[in-house]
Amino acid sequence: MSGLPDKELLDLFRKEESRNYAFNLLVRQYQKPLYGFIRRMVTDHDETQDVLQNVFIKVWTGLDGFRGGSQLFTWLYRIAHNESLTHLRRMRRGLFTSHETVLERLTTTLDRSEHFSGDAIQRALQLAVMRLPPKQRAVFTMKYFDTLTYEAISEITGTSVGALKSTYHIASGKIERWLTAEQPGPTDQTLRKA
Amino acid sequence: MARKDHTRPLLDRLPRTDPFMVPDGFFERFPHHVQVALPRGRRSRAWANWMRPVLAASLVLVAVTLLLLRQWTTTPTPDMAMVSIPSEEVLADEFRDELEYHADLELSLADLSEAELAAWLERDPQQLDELLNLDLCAPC
Repeated sequence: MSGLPDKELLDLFRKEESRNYAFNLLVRQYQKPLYGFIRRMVTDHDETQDVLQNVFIKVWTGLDGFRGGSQLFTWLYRIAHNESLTHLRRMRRGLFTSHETVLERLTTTLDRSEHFSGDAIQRALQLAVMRLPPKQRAVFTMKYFDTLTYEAISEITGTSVGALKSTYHIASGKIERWLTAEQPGPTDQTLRKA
Repeated sequence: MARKDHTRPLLDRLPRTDPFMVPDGFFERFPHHVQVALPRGRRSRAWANWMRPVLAASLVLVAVTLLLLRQWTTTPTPDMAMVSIPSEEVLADEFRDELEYHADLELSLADLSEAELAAWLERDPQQLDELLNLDLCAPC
């Protein structure tokens, strides 16, 4: 992660005169990876923006209490993880419905989105990821797309490494099955080209 | 090599590019957007930190007061206890007290000599009425 080291950032944040400046740096430093994670979780850009904003508001109010027991990035990621899950839960409650209906809505969002540049295989992969239950989706996203270590994911989610390995194994197995079963032709062709 | 590729999990062979696009200039605008949405000022947090124990103490105080109030309103006062006991029982209790009082008086006066009894009556003439009700006074 480029930019100021966490310790310097935190020292600046704790001084009244440089607090806003430090927070601005922090947002600039971490907004992209957190946006990427949240976007993969909630799909829609506007909703991602809302969730990301809530994440940084929580960071602003809670950073004084951050004692550096973990890396700053892990701490931020944990907030983003929790906020994304809360958002998905709220969405489900708002629709008074099941995971399938939420999935339907997310699929429609993906299809309509002018901000999705992926090809057929990327679209199929994203749809498959969206079919996973939220917690599995989070673990899969962190491990597969963001290439975090199991230890880091364990700190973020508060789940044991063993359980995370099982979750990832199950999630990736499901995705492979869905990808090969639903789009055998395009997938094979795209893969050969790749 | 081709054989090896074929046996690799499908996911490992996919390019991990990010297909999600972000509106132009979003990451330049977003930090300002967040700054505007922030709850303002460290002072408010300092106030919140100072107020937290005060609020907690106030809540405890209110809870204790309510508890005591509830206790007070539900525990019957002596008068209320009397009201709730049937009148026969109250009379019986009063009569028993009276009997015990007289028995005590009788026992204590029986040991007195005439001079002591006269001195006792002189010191507390109202006790004469009591004395008249006792068998002890029958010879008088």
